[in-house]
Amino acid sequence: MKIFLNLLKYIVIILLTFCIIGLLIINVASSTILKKQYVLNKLEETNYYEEIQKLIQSGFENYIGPSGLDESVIVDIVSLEKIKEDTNTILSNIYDGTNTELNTETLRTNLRNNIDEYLNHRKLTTSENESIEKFIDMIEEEYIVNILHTNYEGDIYKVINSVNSIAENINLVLILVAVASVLIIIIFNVKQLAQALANFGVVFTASGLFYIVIKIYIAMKINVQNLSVLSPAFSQVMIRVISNVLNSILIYSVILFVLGIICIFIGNSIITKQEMKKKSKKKEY
Amino acid sequence: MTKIFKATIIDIIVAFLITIITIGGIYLSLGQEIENAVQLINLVAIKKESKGIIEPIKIDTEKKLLDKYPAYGTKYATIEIPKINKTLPVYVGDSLDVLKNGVGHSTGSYFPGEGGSIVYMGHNTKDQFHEFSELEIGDKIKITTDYGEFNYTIYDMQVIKETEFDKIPIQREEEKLMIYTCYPFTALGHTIYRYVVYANLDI
Repeated sequence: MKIFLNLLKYIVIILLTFCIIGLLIINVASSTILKKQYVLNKLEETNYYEEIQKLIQSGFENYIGPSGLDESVIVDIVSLEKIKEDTNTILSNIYDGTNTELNTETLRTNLRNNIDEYLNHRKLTTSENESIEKFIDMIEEEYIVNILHTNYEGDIYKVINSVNSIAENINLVLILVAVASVLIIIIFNVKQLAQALANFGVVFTASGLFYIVIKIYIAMKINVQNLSVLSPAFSQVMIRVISNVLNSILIYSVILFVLGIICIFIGNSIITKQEMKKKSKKKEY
Repeated sequence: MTKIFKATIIDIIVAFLITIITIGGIYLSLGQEIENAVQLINLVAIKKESKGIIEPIKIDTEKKLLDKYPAYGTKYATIEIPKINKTLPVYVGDSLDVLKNGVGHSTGSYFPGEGGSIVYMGHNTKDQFHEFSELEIGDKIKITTDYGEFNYTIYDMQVIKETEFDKIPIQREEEKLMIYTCYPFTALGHTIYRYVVYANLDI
């Protein structure tokens, strides 16, 4: 019976460890990558909008060469505020499920005006007008491609929404299981609560150690600082986000590990002192 | 005190064992998927660091094959067209980013010396191919690479549509250089025509 109870106790300890591991990763993810405001903050921190503006301008320059037009026609056709507004539109589409299209009318109008000015408002032939419209279409497409990066905003929203929903449900289940496990451990050790403290210490130490090992594994296998996805500006944002998430996990895991060892030590100290007191009382009798 | 430390160490060992069991369980059930995911991430999303000194390219003149190929976006040759006084760098690739730097080499075509079709393209700007209309049959073109110099003589010029890929055929029977640029040279905006210069390798 004692062996069975001990086995049950360790099963509950392992279950509580899984709960802590799960709760940590879900809560870190929910407060970072799955949160629109967090991503917006990272975009500001990494000067994403300014970098995208440079990228867009460089993209426009590629079309000037074969166009017969001067570089001045692509100057100031899209402002930094417009880039911020459009980026936020895309993030809203991804995180909030809105389905707003980008408005490029201002870009087209500014470009057309610049071209007319460069050509001194001279009357163009039909074929010249067609060629210029095609050029404006290409510049517009270049802008959309650089701002948008993906055609799958709707799909990404569905994934994020579904992940958030699943994460909420799993979070609830893990909390319930964790609370139940804590109560069971306390009940098992109701005569000696210091033993429960030592058991909780084992849980914290194991959870902390798990994430420390994961962090080391990721650091050995993937060079996050060399991440290159879509564009240099986007890569910088992803590097910052992933590094922050990994650092948060590392901090929590070190705290858990150290807290766990302290709880184990304190728990065992109290147990040992209580046993020594009992022994000395017995000796007295 | 020894008893406390003994009990503490036993509990820490139990914690380590729980961690090993957890990690072991995850590795046994998802290990292959994790390894595949890590490999994919490293292949697709991680910039490769430059290894420093790059070995020069060599050509097997019998088999007419290069021992290795330059990476996309890298400069590997210089093209000289004395008639229009142009000496330009040649880069592997035909994207707009590549063409901003110089002449692009279509990645679907062969390299100089390989005995097949070589397709280059460049903008019709003053610093590139704006004077292409001055080229005539018999004019010379020289391409200088790390692995050799190759001289060509122009035998034809044509205006084609951008979709007429059959007018720039890829073959391996004989070495031909085909260079194209946008046409007309003074067009505004986007043009659907290309001016192609065809040249044979001088033997």
